[in-house]
Amino acid sequence: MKSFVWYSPKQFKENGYTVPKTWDEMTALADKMAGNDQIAFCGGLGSGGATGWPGTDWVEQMVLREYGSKVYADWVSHKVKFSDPKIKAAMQKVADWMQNPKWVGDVKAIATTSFQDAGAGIPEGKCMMLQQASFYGNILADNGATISPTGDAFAFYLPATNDNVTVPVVGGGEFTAAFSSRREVKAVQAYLASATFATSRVQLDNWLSANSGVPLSAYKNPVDKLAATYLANPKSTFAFDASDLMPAAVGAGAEWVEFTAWFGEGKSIADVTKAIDAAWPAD
Amino acid sequence: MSDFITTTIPKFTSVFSAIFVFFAVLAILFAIAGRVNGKKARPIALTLFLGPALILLLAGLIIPAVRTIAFSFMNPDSNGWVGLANYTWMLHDPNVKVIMINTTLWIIVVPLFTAALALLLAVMLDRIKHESIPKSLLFMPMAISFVGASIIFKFVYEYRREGEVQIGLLSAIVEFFGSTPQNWMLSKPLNTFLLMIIYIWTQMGFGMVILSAAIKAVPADIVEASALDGAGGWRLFRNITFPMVKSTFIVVLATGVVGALKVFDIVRTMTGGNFGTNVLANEMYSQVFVQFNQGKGSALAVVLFLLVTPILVYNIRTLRKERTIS
Repeated sequence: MKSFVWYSPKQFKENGYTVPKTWDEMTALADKMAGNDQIAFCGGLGSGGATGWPGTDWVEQMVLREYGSKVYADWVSHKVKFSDPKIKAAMQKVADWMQNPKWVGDVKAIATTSFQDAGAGIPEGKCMMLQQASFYGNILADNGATISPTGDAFAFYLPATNDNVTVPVVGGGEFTAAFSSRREVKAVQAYLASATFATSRVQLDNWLSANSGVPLSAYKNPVDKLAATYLANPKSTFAFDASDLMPAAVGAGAEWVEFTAWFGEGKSIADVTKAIDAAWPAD
Repeated sequence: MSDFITTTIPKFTSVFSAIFVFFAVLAILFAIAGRVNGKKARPIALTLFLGPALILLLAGLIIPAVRTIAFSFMNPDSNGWVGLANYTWMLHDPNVKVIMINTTLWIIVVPLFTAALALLLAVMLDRIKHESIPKSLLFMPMAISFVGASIIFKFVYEYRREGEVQIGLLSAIVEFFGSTPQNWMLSKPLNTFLLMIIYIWTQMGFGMVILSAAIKAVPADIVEASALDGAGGWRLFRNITFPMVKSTFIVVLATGVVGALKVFDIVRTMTGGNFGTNVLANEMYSQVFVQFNQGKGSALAVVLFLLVTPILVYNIRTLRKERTIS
């Protein structure tokens, strides 16, 4: 589940901040933090050879939040191009947010900071918020932070931006593919898709399910539990990670490279989108 | 103990039986080769002894090379022909242009600096007291892999945003001299040269050792004779030492060119090819193994191969020439 913002409940309490419920509340909070000489948002695109992927997440959040599932699906299939005014507008909104020097400080440093390091300063209040997926708690916990609604770090839901798109949620997932249609294979598939399997897998921790048959009490990890409430919510507008669905030449190639140049080298949205569209495979 | 019996002993058994089978096959081959005599002896011996090497060469080099060349004219999944599309892509793509410029820079700057520094060090350290200590220290980076060296230099080039404490050595040095450090990996075109320093740092010692051996091989009588004739310092180096080690110097240069053409690990570890530092080998890897485009990746590999070939040919030629002289 990727539509999360990591923050430090302790730091929020100390500074008298409250968790924002709407996009406007979040920007107002960021302005307030900037007023207190705090860095509102941390960010890091660095991920070795996969540098740039966190940027794809940010754009995906915004495309889904602004336009909903239909445009999102057309964007994934390239019916809506990157250079489409809609996508450009969504990217501009990402730029207003994660490339706003008032909120993030050194914009270019986002391109050279690894995503693991990006949020390391959250518990100490070096920066206050980071948009990252539910798994990010494991990285913070490895650094010694306690993950709880009152602890060093926790996550809140990245607010929606458009009232017409209800509870937008971007996420990734795993697939079970069968290589034969024998009865026993189908039985295993049915089992893997059942609430019984999902519940027992959830109890092993570090795993999420959108299966509404999984009781919330099965979750040990409080962030996973919170994520599950959004995944299993029938009103949620869920979208699968777009860069993972696009052809690898774009989703694991041009998009990473161009978004990194967008942040690190100040490449314009017009040039970035043009280059990504050009990299889209012909057939 | 039970572990030892159930897992370790079977492991050893399979190792020893594999070795035994290997020698048994060899023994049979030798026996056959020894038995045959008369007209057929020579051809049979040739096939027996050269055969395995040829098969390995075919499987490991020739077949992959032919396949790669074929793939470079095919689509990403290698199941349809696309003509020269992968090569025209290379000519028109702006990113590939950056890659070509960077690769050219690498093959010019890196070998020259590596060889020049290696020669300088070899001459300076020749016959000083405790020569082996500085030499060992300079040679040591050679033992570090490029990825390891890159991780070390990641800390050297580390940049923290303004206001925070700089932990990178380079930033610290710049700060010491009263200047403000930059985000090194972002500053074009300096970043490419900073990456080259990593390569030079690891390879310099190797060149130095080879050149130093060559300098030691310069006959003492020639050096003495020139000294008697009044040559010293620079003249001795220019007219005696350098001409005598020139061929070794060229070998160090050529090794540097081939190495710089193939450079991959440093770029991948330091920048992932971002910020205008991409090179041919990194893009080739990214195309084939990240973007799953065998066509473009193979075309890049073919270009890399064509670029390396003349240097290899030159290297082999000079080696042959030397052999015929001596």
